[in-house]
Amino acid sequence: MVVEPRKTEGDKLTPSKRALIISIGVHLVVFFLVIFGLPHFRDESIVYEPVPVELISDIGQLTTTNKQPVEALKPDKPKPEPPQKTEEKKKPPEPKKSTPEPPAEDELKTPPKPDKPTEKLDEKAEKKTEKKKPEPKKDKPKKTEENDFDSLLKDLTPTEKEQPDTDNIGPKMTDPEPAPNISRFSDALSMSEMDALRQQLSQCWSIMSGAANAEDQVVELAVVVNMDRSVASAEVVDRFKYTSNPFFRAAADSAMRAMRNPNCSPLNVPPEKYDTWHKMRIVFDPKEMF
Amino acid sequence: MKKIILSLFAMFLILPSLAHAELRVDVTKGTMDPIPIAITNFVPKDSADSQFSTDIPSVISNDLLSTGLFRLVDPQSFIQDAASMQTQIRFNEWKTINAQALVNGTVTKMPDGRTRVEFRLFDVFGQTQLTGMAYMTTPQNWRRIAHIISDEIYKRLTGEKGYFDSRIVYVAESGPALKRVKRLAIMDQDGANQRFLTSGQALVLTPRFSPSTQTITYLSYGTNNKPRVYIYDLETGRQEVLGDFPGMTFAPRFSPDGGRVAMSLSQNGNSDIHVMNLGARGSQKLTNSPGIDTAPSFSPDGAQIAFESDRGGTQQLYVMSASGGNQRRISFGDGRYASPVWSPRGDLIAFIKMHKGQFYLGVMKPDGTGERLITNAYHLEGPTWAPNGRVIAYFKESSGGNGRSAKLYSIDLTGHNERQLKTNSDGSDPAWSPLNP
Repeated sequence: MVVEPRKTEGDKLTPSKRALIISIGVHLVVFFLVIFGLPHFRDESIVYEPVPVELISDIGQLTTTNKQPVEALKPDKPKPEPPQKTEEKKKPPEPKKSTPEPPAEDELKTPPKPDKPTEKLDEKAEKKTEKKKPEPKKDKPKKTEENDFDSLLKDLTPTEKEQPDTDNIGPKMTDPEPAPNISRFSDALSMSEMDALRQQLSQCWSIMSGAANAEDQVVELAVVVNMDRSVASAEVVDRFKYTSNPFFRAAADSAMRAMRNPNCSPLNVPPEKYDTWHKMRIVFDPKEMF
Repeated sequence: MKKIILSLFAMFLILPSLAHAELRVDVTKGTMDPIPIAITNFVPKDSADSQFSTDIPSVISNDLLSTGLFRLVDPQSFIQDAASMQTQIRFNEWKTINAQALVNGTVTKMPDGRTRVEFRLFDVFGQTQLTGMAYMTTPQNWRRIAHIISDEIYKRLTGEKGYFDSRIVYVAESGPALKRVKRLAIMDQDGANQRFLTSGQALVLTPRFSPSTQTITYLSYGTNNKPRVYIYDLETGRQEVLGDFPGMTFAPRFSPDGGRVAMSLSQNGNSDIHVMNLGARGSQKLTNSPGIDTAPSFSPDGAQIAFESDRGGTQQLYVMSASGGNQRRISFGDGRYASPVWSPRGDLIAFIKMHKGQFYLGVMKPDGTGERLITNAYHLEGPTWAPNGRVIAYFKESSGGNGRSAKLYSIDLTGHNERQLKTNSDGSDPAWSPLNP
């Protein structure tokens, strides 16, 4: 009753003919996709967008700039370096990074030879930092010294309690440092040991102030530390955000730079508690700085 | 059996703790130290003008340095030479000299006479290339390319759009205080390519860039000495009066799409804000208070307008919808507030505050909270945002040789990086362009 006319048409086609027609149809679709679709996919990734940069005649010259990315940005790059990187003493030739690189960069990636001079310097740096070790005990007095950097954002508002309805950044800064919410293993590292590590890392961490929502860019790194207290690997935990949010990526890069900074190697942790600090989650949270 | 169940239960309790056995360290303090960046000379290829190989890095260096976010590593300390970097970067050598970011590049002369400029940005500690681009242009346009490269570097390292490939229009001032000549002038944001746009016969004030087009609106006392709002198209050089109003029009500012201009119209001693559609040339009155309503500034989505008004007895900041509804006061501090300018990022409104004989440049959120005063001077006015909403330009006045001296300045949102902008003469009323198209 419902689909009578079609049925009669369909009845004429044998199953094999129908299959043939479907097959041809599907092949045609695939064929057209390949012919017309592929070039467009390609265009998107290569981005040969001509960027007309016409300067006005009374200002500059009329010119055209063709912007061509030499290398595609590698958002999937958060790849932390291989563990060897911080252990330069071990391997004279640097291992190649495993991240996929465009051909041009392959050439650039050949392992650098002259490691020797830097090794020496690294050793010196290590010695220096080792010498500094006793310092952590001075943490408390230091805090007052550091207060000169309590506010990333300058505010000239007179202190005579103006603007009752404004966000007051000041009080936040003077809040006591939160008790190290270090999980159940806080007893493994004493309070002063934890402070010493934090203090060390905070000196290597350069915060990008002034960015939109900079205070919200909290970066968590999964860090593996070698026995010699050098960082074996560091990885941004939230990789999706790293690839999708440029502000977070910049903040995460800044945290990674802090971890890899030679001034923070070796890490200021008690050597005998290797099991405790072998693997760490280090959270760089700038909220208190704003 | 019970024992097995109990031991399994115990294991379930213990396993998660083992899984989370990692130590957690919260780092809540850092430094504001600028990132040490090494910028090498660009390597000239195929008989390219070797001047570019030093000039382009020099412009990039100045751009980045001016932000206060970067520190240039002294080129004299470089161990690896620029040419050898084309085949291999010896990261350890850059690490040794405390460079954290590294920029190198090439300049190539193409057969058609154009110049190809290529750059790469590296993370020294991570030993990775962060970005790399190539550009083609006529040789005369090399500064523009340098600014575009600076923008790319800035964007990659801060996450924010750059602002180096932009221009600033301002009022160039010369002559004694009583016979001051004021001409419209324009320059690159770094002070290069300064040009005059008007002859100086008529007094010009308050130039404002369209946020989306290469058009300027400003106030000029034309031939009949009547102040009128004008539009100046930078691409054609054409200028025209905006609307023929019976009274005096002033304080013009474009809507974000460049299609409308909001301004004040003064009639019978009362000033109200009007908005004019540039296409249809129709205008609409938005405010209707007995006081002076002026200095309108659109929000970046075009839905709201911030303005100043003395309707409450003192000069304060207000916000209303773009159609004039829901007018509400947002400034409540001591002193007087003026010249609200909505950030292109939308998160803040810059303003001038006058309090106890001092002028302050401040920012607050659009709802009036979070007020912060970032710099001050004896006389300071004319805030204008860089296209990325992270830097504000303005001018300061002081008594100078001719009885009065006005200089342009810029400051970043942190308030820690204030710089004087280079101008050939005294300058006031700066207006920052959007990024060049």
